[in-house]
Amino acid sequence: MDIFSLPDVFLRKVMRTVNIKDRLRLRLTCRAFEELVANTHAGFAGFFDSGHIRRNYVDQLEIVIGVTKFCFSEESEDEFEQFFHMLNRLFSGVSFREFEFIFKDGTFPIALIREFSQKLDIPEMHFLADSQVQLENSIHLMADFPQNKFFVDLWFLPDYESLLSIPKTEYLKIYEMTKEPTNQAIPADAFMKLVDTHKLLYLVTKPLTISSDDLMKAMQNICADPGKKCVEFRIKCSIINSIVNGYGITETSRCGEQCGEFKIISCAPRQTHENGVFDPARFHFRYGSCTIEIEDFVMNYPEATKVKIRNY
Amino acid sequence: RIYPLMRVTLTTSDGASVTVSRQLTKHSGFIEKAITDMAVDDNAVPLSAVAVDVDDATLKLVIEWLTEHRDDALPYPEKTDEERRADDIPAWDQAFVQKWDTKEDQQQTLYAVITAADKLDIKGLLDMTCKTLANKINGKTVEEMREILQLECDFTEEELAEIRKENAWCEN
Repeated sequence: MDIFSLPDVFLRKVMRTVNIKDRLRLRLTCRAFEELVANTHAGFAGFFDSGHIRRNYVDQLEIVIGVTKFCFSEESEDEFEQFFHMLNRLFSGVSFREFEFIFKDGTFPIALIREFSQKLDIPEMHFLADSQVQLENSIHLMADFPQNKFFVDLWFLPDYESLLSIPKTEYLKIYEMTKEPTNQAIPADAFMKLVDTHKLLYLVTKPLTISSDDLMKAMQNICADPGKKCVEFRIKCSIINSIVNGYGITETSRCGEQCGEFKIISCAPRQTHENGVFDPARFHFRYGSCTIEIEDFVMNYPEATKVKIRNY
Repeated sequence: RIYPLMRVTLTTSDGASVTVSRQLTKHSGFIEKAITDMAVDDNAVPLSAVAVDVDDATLKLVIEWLTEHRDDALPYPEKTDEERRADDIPAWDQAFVQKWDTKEDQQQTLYAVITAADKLDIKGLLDMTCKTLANKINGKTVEEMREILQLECDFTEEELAEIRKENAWCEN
């Protein structure tokens, strides 16, 4: 009797019990073991909670599968292909609850990554991109998996064509904080399309310059949406002023007061302490099925304020 | 329900018969299912014989292990991959495996017990033998692994170089 006549369930159990270095060393013993290691995903279970691909701090391409890290520092195309050949050999068919594609701080062999991703089962794909090119890479990958759930973090404000070509996401967060700063704010029509497309939209960008009519329209669309929706953004206080003043809400309005279609749920005016530190003013309204939370809002104040509108 | 007085006769693949307590066979999913399938009165003593596809010598080893583990908790606790470890084999089990005569005999006996544990669906024994085999492999060189597992290298030097290069990319 040889080891390969043992039950398959047992061999898979052994593969999961020996450590990763030994599993990979077993690949070198003979062809049958090389096959076994590949067919058992190198002894890993077929399911991982998470994984990611990124450039690490020493500029290596790093792929983490479960608790195992694969690092690659060569840059030639052939070497990349060989590296991905190994990953394809060992991990075809494995599932991840969530996989992060962290397309930041460097270049990525996107064709090879797409080919590798096709062999995985990733119901929830999380993308982080810091440039136009990396966003386009992310969109290509999303197009390969139209049934999946997407989560997108952008560390720049992309051009509007790209921004609007991002398919429906569970969340789209844009942090315009690092690269490629722009003087432009997201225009009203783009904002409305983003609100309609994404379940959660979180914009840490320049204050929106949309009109009060646009903002009312956005609120109405969020109210009318049958699914859960949440939008967070910054906007000039003057836009909020023109809406709330139009409904008769003033600095003297109190909690529980109904002002037209708005009901004041809570209001906390700005509190300035003796040491000069202040707690920002907070207003909380209800409008239809939406709740609207406004932070740092001071009536008739020229600064921007943070607004969160949700329909749940 | 447990019937400590109840006994069951097992007939082996080489024609032998062994009668054992249900307290032991309750650890075997295969035997328990066979008894259930007979749909006999639980109080009948003894039950009809259950045929097992295991030879007499191997079945004796399995019964020896079952006797030691007769009071183990059921159902056998399944471990997640994170909980899986190979260094927690009880001392009695270690001695049980080591007493088989020669090195080659030990390997063949281990394989026979593994196969029997699988056929009889004895999870605890399968788990212990899995750990035993994993411990034999852990930390060994490729040559040592080939010797322990009695394998012939059928790779070319170029193929070996290729796999070594691929393996080097695994950091942890």
